[in-house]
Order: sequence, then C-alpha cells, then structure tokens
Amino acid sequence: MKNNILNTIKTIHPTNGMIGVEIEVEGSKLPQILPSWRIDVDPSVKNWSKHENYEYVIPKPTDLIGVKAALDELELAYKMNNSKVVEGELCGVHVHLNVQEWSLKKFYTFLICYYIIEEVLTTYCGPAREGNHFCLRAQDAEFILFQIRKTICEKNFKYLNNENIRYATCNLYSLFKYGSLEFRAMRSTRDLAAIYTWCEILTTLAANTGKFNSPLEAISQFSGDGELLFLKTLLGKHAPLFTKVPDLEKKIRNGARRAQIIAYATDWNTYKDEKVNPFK
Amino acid sequence: MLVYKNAEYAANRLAGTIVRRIIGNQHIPIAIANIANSKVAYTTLADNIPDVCDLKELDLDPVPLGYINNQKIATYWARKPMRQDWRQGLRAANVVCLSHPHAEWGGNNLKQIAACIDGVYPTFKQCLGKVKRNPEAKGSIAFSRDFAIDGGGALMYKSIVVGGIDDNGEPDYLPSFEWASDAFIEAVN
Repeated sequence: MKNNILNTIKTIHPTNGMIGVEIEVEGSKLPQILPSWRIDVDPSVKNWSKHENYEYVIPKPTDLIGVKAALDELELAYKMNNSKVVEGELCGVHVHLNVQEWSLKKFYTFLICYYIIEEVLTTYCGPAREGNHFCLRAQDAEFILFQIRKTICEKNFKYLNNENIRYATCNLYSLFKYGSLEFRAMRSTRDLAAIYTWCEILTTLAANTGKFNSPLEAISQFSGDGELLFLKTLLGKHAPLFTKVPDLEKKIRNGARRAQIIAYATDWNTYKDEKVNPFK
Repeated sequence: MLVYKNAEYAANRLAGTIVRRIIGNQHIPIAIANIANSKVAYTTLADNIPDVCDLKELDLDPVPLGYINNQKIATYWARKPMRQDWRQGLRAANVVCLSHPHAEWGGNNLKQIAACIDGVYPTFKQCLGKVKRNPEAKGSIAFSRDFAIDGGGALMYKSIVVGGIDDNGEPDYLPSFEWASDAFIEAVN
C-alpha cells in the first residue's frame, strides 16, 4: 500500500483532478447561470455585504486547462452582463490542490517549501489579504506549525483534523473533507487572469517541490542557494513576480526560520521513500 | 495593509480584541472597547489609559506573539487560525499557550503582553544572572520572543527544550536541536 495521504486519512473519498477553485464575489449584475460553475451564496459574505454576492465553485477538480476554460466562461459572462466586481476584505479566492496521491514525505516537503515563502507569496494576493483573519499566515497564527510538528512527531494526523487551523492561508483541515490543501489567501478580483496566474503559481510550487527528496534536502538547498535562487527553484517562470517584494530576502529567511520546527521534527529516514506523481 | 471602512463591520471584528494603534512611527498595543461612527474607544495595554482614535489609525495586522514574561514564569503563546472566532484582533478565544496548556490569557498580565507585542525583553545576560542568583526557583524567563531559560539551566526555543546553558553561560544544544543556534545568535545580538 502506498504511504500517501489517501491511505493515511481514511475519511477521504478518492478523487481525480488536480485543482479546484472557489471565487467569492460581491458586486452588481453578477452572472447567475454558468455551465462550468456551481453558484452558491456564502453566508459569511451575505451577512455583511451591501452588494449582490455569490460564490462561484468549479464543481469537480480539474486541471489548469479546465480552470482556464471555466475562468474564460466567467470572463465572458462578466462582459455580457456588464458586471461590476467589488474588491474588499470580505471576499477571497480559494484554490484546492488535490494531494491525495502525494507521499507523506512529498506532502511535508511541500509544506516546508510553502512556509519558507508564504509571506512573499501572500503579497501577490493583495494588501487586504495579508494578515486577514480569514487567511492567517504562519507568522500571524503560529499554532498551525505546532500542530504540523505534532503530526510529524507522532505520525498521527488527528492534530490537523481541527477547525482551529482552518482560517490559515494554507488550510490543512481540508485534507479530511477533500484530500486537498486549500489556499485561501487570494483576493477576489475582476482580474480573472490574476486568479489564473495564482493557480499556476501554486501548481508550479507543487511540481517543483518534487525536486527535493525530503524536507531536510529542501532546507539544505535553501541554505546553500540563498533566498533568490531558492525562490526561483520553487516558482520557476513566476519568480520575477516576487523579486521586487520589499525586504524579500528577510521575509524568506524568516520563513525558513519558522519552517525549521517542522523540518527538523523527525528523522525523515523513518518515512518510507516513494516516487509519487503529485498530479497523477 | 488591511483597512476596515465599514464601522459596523469593524466593531464586529475588533471589539474586545487587541490590535495596535499607529502614532507616528510607533505601533502601540491597545485593547478595543467599542467602535462607533469610525471612532474607536480603547485602553492602552501597557498603561490601561483610555483614549479614542479614528478607525483608520489602527494597525490591523495580527499582533506578534511569543514568550510572555509573567511574575515567575515565561509562557509561550501563539494565535490559532480558527474559523469559529472570526475576530481580526487577538483575544482569549483565539490564542493558546503552547508551553503551559493551562495558563490563562490576560488577567493581570496586560503590561507583560504589551511588552511581548512590542518585543521588549531583558537581555540574555540579565536573565542568566537572575536564574543563577536563584537556582532553586522553578521559574523561567524569556530574553526574546523565541527563547527562554529556566532555573534548571534549560534553554527553550518556542516552548521546546533545545538544550541547556553551560557553566560559561554558553548554549549547549541537544544533538537534534543544533539548528536552533542561528536563531539564538540572532536573539542575543
């Protein structure tokens, strides 16, 4: 049996497709019928918004081509309706990455790489999302790192099966419902190309963390390469989007410091090594 | 930076919580009592002085946490990114003590919480002197947001015992925690 997320968390229903997207929107003249989207009303937005508001959800995980097609459909509907989208602190975009087939070592390696660059990544999502209580970063709510550390040390995922870690930029509680990591930081915006780029950034990060055989190898490479080269290794062609972030190197260095408590939580040789295609 | 423009929404997310007020270059920890008409009624955390400011003067970034030096013990605190408590500011319901699970938040320790948020700690040497003078005491004291030492000579990093302090006052790391040395050097300098 593969030592992967699907076989570790027994509540997961096996699902194909690598990515899912939910877009909370408030505005006017918003589309109400779209073949590629399920359209819900989000109570957390509805209770406070003075505008029309919906949540557009891709109903089944898909690939980047599927996401692009769905966003193109939404774009066309916005134009046809002459829709207006309000950008505010209420609405966000949630991207789910299907990690069911990831080995545990791949999963933890990804988390360590993510937390090293989390602060920098979140700058892409918009100033109203940085430190927002709907999507707190590890530097805002460090509890998440300690829950991950306990999970690693005790090889028991019960510490992540907890609503108290749900409103993080990377929601690990979603593992138990969908077998996914839910990225909650992206702002809701009329610029759907920016949302697509965010999906590309996350999938690129997921693919490139596969270059490391273990969390320690990732940390070691960071120490050897330095901040900028490590960022480029992780984000590839998307790295230039972040190179002008103020205090970039300091932010990555601080992220690496935070990630240490999970990177050094165990002897990773005790985790069975496997080659698993994360996007199978 | 996150900014709230709707006073009613802001009151819902901030009343009864700790954030900071921006005055010049300073970001002062405050406990918000109420918000109405874009005016914020608060007391300063360090001095318990009541005052009023505009909503736009608030720094809504989550306040930094870590070790809080109480009377005899240093406790390590972190915020929980929880769903059921949708407050932007910090309060007892969304914070947890990782070093002492039964420790209570707030109470008479508001001044010490303010010092933690502001990053104000005694130096490593001062802490070392204090525990050496009273080695029988079972207490602990933090010299940074991330590090504390106790009367038994243990060195703690973010609530985890990572080693001890030798007779020369130098850190002596457990084999699996040597990685904490860089953070220690940064903390004492």
